[in-house]
Amino acid sequence: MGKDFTPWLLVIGAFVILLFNDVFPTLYAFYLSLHVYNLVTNPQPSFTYLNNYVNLLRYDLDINASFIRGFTFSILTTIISLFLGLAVAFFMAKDFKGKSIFRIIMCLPLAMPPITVGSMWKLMCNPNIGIIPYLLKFLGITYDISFNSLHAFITVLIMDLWHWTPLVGLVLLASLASIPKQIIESAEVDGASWPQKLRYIYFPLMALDILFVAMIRFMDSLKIFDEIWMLTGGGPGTSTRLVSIALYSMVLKRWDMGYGAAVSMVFTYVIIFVSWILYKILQVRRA
Amino acid sequence: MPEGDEKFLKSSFGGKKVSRREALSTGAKIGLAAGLGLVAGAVAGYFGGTLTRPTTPTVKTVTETVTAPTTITSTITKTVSVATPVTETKKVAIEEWLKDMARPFKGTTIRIIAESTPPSGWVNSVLVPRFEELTGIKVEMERLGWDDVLRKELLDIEGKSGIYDLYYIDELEVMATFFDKGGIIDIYELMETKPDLVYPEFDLPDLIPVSYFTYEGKLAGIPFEFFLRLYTYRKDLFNDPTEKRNFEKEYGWELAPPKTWDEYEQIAKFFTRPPDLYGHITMPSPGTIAFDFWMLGWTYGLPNGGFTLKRRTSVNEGGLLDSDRSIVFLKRYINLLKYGSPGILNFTWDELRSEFMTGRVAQGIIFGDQLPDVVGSPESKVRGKVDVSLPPVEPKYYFPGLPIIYGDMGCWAISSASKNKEAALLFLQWVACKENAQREMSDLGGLCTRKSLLFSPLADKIDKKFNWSYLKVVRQVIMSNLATGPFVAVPEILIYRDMLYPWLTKAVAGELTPEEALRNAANEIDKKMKELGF
Repeated sequence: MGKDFTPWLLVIGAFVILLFNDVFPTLYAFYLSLHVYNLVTNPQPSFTYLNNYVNLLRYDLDINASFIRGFTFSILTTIISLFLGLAVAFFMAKDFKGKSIFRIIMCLPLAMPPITVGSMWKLMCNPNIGIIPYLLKFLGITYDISFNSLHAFITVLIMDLWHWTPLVGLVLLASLASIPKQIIESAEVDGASWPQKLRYIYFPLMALDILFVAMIRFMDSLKIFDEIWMLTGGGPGTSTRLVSIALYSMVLKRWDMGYGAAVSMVFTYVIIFVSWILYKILQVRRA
Repeated sequence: MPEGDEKFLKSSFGGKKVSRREALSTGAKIGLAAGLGLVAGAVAGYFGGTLTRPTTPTVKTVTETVTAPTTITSTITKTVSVATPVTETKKVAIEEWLKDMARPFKGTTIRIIAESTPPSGWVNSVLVPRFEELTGIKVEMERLGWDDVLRKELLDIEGKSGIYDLYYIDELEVMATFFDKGGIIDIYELMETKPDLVYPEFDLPDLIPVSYFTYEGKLAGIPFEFFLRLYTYRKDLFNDPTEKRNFEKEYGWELAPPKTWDEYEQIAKFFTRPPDLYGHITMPSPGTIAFDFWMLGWTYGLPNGGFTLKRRTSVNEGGLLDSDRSIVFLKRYINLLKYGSPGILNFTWDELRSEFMTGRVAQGIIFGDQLPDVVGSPESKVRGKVDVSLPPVEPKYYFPGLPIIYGDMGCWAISSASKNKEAALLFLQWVACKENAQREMSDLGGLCTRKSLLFSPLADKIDKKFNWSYLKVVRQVIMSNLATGPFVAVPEILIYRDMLYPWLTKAVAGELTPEEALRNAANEIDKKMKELGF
């Protein structure tokens, strides 16, 4: 019987798209990362071995600080959104009047493009007309994200939580719904308290989904750009200058393609590595 | 797995049962092996190759002779051509000429990218429709913020995609880069090879910014905008007898446009009466603070923001970025922010205009292309209440003759990948011809690109119309050579600005002292320049 190539032909379209959208750009980025190449000052690429990587890892305090800032941001937003998402999921699992309307309102932030979220928060934080400074004034807080680094960082964190916690909530709600009711009822009959149910039933049975959504949130939050760019532009100082913003500045303002490619390669592989760790934990958990 | 699917997989993939885990694992191994192989191949290939890193930069330096500037107070007599009155005959001539010349290009479309400034907006709304009507050539203009314009233009040139026929240029560094990359053509050469397409009355040398857009003898584009960043103030407040009396009582000198930054600060303090009035405005947002520093630094005797032609910034290396004058400048800059409106730390060039229009600001250094809205827009609360003057200087560091006023000019350059170069040339001449330059001057509060118009009685009439002295001051600036260059194209200024702004914003936020910020910035920039081969 002759070999049937039909299945390969059926998947070849997807392979071609992957090739052009992912593989070639990655290879080209790697090629650029081995060169000194600036569109304005060094328009002819010149090979520099791994010097870009050496400079990045040994000397570039600014980018390294951006990485640390980015990780701090991602860890905080992931953990907090998990807690909030869980709370939302438990709340949504109950039956109450207006539940469907509440669900729609809760999911509205998800429907907004990131740039719109950033613009909206920028208006809300405006010292002249913003609602947030106005309300905080009553608490005796002089709120100004253009001047206070801590205010800016916390605002960016809250903005991200506001935007993406509904997604976490929805995923965990689905996970909650998949737990057999009999288990919960048996536990209640046996007199299990709420913390005990949480610890011995909900968390173990939802662990995979919690880990999965944590992985998604962590990866996404590391790559955040639009919202922060609109709200603070990376300032004040460098307090909200995460890797994506530093990269944007390097590639599209300084036009430093070679070094920017090196930074993006390292950034990509850091995300892959962290995701791989979380994936391994998932696999172990599954086993 | 359904039996049918299992059979299908077995028969299709060599009879071997492949689980999802195995497939993913195999794929990852292949990818990793390919990646490692590429690394080894790249290193081996290039190591064995003949490519070497250039030891000298590939950027060309243009040397121009700059006439020695004179002091501000001296009077210079220059012979300038007086604008011949625009008669009906001349007006018809350009339009008739265009109708004739454009016949072969009827039906084509030219695509233009421009920064969204009032002049480009005026061209788009007033001149483009008439041009289309006269010539049958369609014009599509895309107006964006400066960052987006530069990005799209560079990517269009890099990709040779030829999306745009005309590129907007307003910096010498950008012009030099575009020429070096072969992205734009020499307008002089085009005019010489196609003399029929040159309007006889055009008078190219009459355009003020023409010399700025000339690079190694080549003309990058035909200018259509020219304006200065001038000290702008509320003359209604300055002329109010009560305000004058109170000010003189407090500070001991007559309230007038300041000549020094000390005087500026006193005026700022005097007029800061929150929440209705503030004494200062500028643009310290992360995206614009480096521009502010670079533009205003001249008044502190800090040319080009302390960045030298040798691409150095630190004092040790011959620069001025971490010099005493630079530190004094940054300290004052930060100190003045307390006299600004709430939220000033996020102000960009847009807020310079919009905040001034609200009537809540007493003074500032505003861009000339924003002033037409300030003095002429129906939304402006300060129409007829604004005037301009030369900016203040820091006497300790400023030396007479040094340019102090940021001069901005914009032109459109023809893309070398354009298939409609001739049609584009016709459009450029339509925009910048004397007749339309005069209209622009009249409609836009005095933005003037032509010497003959600037030194004509018409200029005084327009100043009177807007009840201010913008064109008078512009004349003074031109005659005294007070407008800043740059005089030499230095593409690395883009890198300098981008590396400088994080340090400046840290100083503004109080995370570092001005000294620390400037010292760190200077060291970092110099290190980068050395890496680039300078």
